[in-house]
This record gives sequence, C-alpha cells and structure tokens, in this order.
Amino acid sequence: MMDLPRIQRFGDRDLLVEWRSVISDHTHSCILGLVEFLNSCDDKGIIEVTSTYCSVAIYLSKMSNIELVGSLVKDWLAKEVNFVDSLPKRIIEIPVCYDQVFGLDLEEMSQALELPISEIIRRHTAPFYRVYFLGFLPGFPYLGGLDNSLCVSRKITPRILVEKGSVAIGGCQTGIYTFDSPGGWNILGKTPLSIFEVSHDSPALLSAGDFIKFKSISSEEYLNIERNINNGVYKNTAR
Amino acid sequence: MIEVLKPGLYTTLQDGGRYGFRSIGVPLSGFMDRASAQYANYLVGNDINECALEFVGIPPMLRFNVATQIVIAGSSQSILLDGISRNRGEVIMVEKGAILSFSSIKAGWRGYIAFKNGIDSQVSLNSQSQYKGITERLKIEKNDVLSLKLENFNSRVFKKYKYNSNFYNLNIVEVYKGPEFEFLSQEVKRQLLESTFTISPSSYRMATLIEENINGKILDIITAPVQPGTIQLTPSGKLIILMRDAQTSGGYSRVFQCSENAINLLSQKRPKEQIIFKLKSYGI
Repeated sequence: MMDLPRIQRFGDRDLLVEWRSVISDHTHSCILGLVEFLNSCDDKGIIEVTSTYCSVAIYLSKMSNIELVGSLVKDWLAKEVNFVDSLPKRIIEIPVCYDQVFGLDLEEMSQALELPISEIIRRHTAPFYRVYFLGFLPGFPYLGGLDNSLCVSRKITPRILVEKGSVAIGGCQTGIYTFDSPGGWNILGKTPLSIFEVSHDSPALLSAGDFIKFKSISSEEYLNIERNINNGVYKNTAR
Repeated sequence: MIEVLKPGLYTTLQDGGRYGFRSIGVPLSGFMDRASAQYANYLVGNDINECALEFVGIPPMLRFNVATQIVIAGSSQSILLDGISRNRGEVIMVEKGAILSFSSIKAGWRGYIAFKNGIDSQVSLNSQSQYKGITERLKIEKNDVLSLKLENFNSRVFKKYKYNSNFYNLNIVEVYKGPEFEFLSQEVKRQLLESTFTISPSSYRMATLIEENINGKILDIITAPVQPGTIQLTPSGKLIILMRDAQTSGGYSRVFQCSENAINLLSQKRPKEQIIFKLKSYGI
C-alpha cells in the first residue's frame, strides 16, 4: 500500500502536495497523473501547477476556493492510488558530441573514475534517462538514471561560464545546460540542440515524464545538425 | 517617447508577472512590491498589472518627449518635475520636454513610475518583466528610449484601493510555517523566532539575504517546489528569502513562507535594515 501524500497550505493561497521524500518511479507517475488531472480542471482558479521529485505545488488565483481544490486533490488521490504508468511516454534522442573540444572534463574524469573515455561515453549513452521535472534554469531537466559508476564530485572551482548545450555530470546527476551559466559540473560534451528556445510556442524541448537518450555524434555531425537548425530544417526524433 | 538620462542603480520594466511557465522552470518575476506598483497603476487609470518602471536604491532621471500622465509610488524621496516638487500618489500631468528627477531615497527601497497606458516593450512568454534569457533587455540603460502604449486595453474600474503608503516602516515580517519547519530543532526554531535579522547589501530581485547565521544542524532536502516568499535555510546556517525572480524549485530546507504583504514589505527594506519574523497561522 502506497503512503498517501500530505496536502498542506503553501503561503496565502497556494497548496503543496508532498509524498515521502524518496525518489521513485511510482511516486513520479502519481505526480504526473495529479498534474495532468489539475491541468484539466477548468474554473477552479488554478493558475499553474509545478512538480518536483516528490511534490506538486498548486498555485491558485484570488478567486479560487482553497478548501475546494484541496478536497478535489484528496478525492483524486483516494481514487487513483493504484494508478501506475498509464501515461504516454515520449523518448527524445539528444545528439551529443563527446569530442574533447567540447568534453572539457573527460580527461580528468577518466583519471578520477579509472575508466577509459570511450567507456565513460558508452555508459553515459546507454540508459534511458527519466525527466523528473524542469527547474534551476528555464527548461533545465532534472534527470534520473545515471550509471552509478559515473558519479563524480562537482569541480572544486566552478567555471564562470558553462556554454549552453553542455552535457555534464555533478555528483550522481547528469544534465544539459539550457543557457550559458556559471557551473561546477563536469563537462562531457555538447549538444547542438536548443533545449530551451524562448521564441517557440512551447519553449522547453523536454517536459516532465519524457525519457531522453544521449547519442554520440562526431564533430562533423555536430556542425551539420547546427547548420540544419540554423536553416530551420532540423527534425528532432521524438518517438 | 521617454529618454533615459540616468538609469539609476538597477531600473527594470516589470508587470504583474510571468504566469503559466513555472512548470518549465521560468521564474514568475514581476513587481517586487506589488502593492505599491499596483496602486500607482490604479491611480493613473491602468490595469493594475500594467508594465511600469521599477527602480531600486538610486532612482532614474527621465526626459519626456511626449505629454502624458504618471503616478509614482513606493519608496519615499523628493520628486521633481522640471525642478518643481511633486508628491507620491499624485496624478502628475507631464508636458512634452519635461524632465523628471528624484532626490536620493529617504525611506523604503523600491519605487514605481506608472505611465498612462503603460510602457510598450517586448512581450516574452506573456509578460514584459525583464529577466535574463527570457527578454532581450535585462534592465534600463542610459539613453534607452521608452515608448508608451497608445491605448489602455485593460482598463478596469475599481471601487476603492486600500493602500498605506508608509507600510514599510514596520519591521515585522509575517510568515507561515514552511514545509520543513516541524523538522527543525527547538533551538533552531527559537533562533528564527526570537532573533533580529539584518538585510544584506547583496540582496537582489531573486533573493533577500540575511547577514546573521543560524547555528544548529540543518539538513538539505530533495529538490522541491519554492516560490516568491519561501525562506530557505542552508546547511551552513544562511537564510535566503526568495523574492519575485526566484527559481521554481530548490534543495534547501523551507523553514517559512512569507505572506504576500510580507514580500512587499521585504521589497522595501534597504540594506542593513532590521527585521523580525512573526508566525502567522493558516487559521483552518
């Protein structure tokens, strides 16, 4: 039997639904289900809903009835408690060039992990990573599924600038920088894809519940894809 | 058109906020002190969330190449239009060629200039609020030229607008218990509720920082939702009060959640001012 999450107030008029603090696929499925349910509720004054590993935040307008929304959530949870992975899944392939031109920390990681670079790349491209949620930077995916043998501590001195598109590992997490940003993660490579494009109708390429797979590409392929994106003829392979 | 003669310390375009994009990690942004900004918009006859100028610390200086009406609210300072003194909360008729200048801020920390019909600027993800990576411009620069909207598309009628122009003289910050409050030790709770705290000069639109440290064992959490007004406590004892440009999730303990009034109040606290936290109950 799954523990029911706790529904609590979160400021003047918002609500927070929190599951036990354990990252699990089951909890994540419940969260995605609840978010989908809340996004389908019209006329309840729900402005927007965000989710993380174990929580859903429900942001409400002044016109909303907080108790009513709370009881809607409660009823949904009671009914859907056995609900499992019934939601459609997208798998998105992210091409990454692991050349050392881009993979600035591969050499250092290879020594620290005592693994050849080719093996780091093999293990990094093997899993399907689950997108738990987006945060930190606009469009930045919190991913689950990194091979434990690739865990490596953050750099002692963070870089002042990590370029947009850099694919990196910090601790036991892997991610893609969606903007140029300071950062302390170890850089393995770079994707030519724009993970967040503010001018697009849906600015974020990824969303919670997606799966991604990194695909190793050569620097020629990188330049090719970059050119196609700039000319507006690149088609991403979402399945 | 309005010319920026002096940009001030950090003047930005803000509106009611960028709603609807937090699930993809885009901060809410918008007026830091919503009460003052909305009051200024209300008085000038705009929708209360219309785009206005927000200044902080040092006000800007503007030249109007257009006749219009403006209202200034928020921080307290002398307001001069072509050298003639004006008041906060007054509808000021501005003639073409007039120069608007200010003395240094005497009380409060953020001011708002609302223009009749609002400022015209890039709308990105449904909002004009300036934010890195979302709007092309991040703040107002010297020699910028601002244009005004031709019509007020949103004009609404309000019966009465409650606003106390000196609310920021208070130093009591009303907070609710945050999700992790109950997990704190008695000693940490005592420090949070019985100490006086000092606003750090490093505070900015993303967070108001506190100079004093809390002593005791404080744990990180699994990254969870945060919003403007969430007060985080780091393992090293630092208090971070998230403000309007806050990230959408965070990994520090969420010890308090400010009321909306408290966020407005904190937006008006200048560096080195002191505050205390007072628990407020949800009353259910």
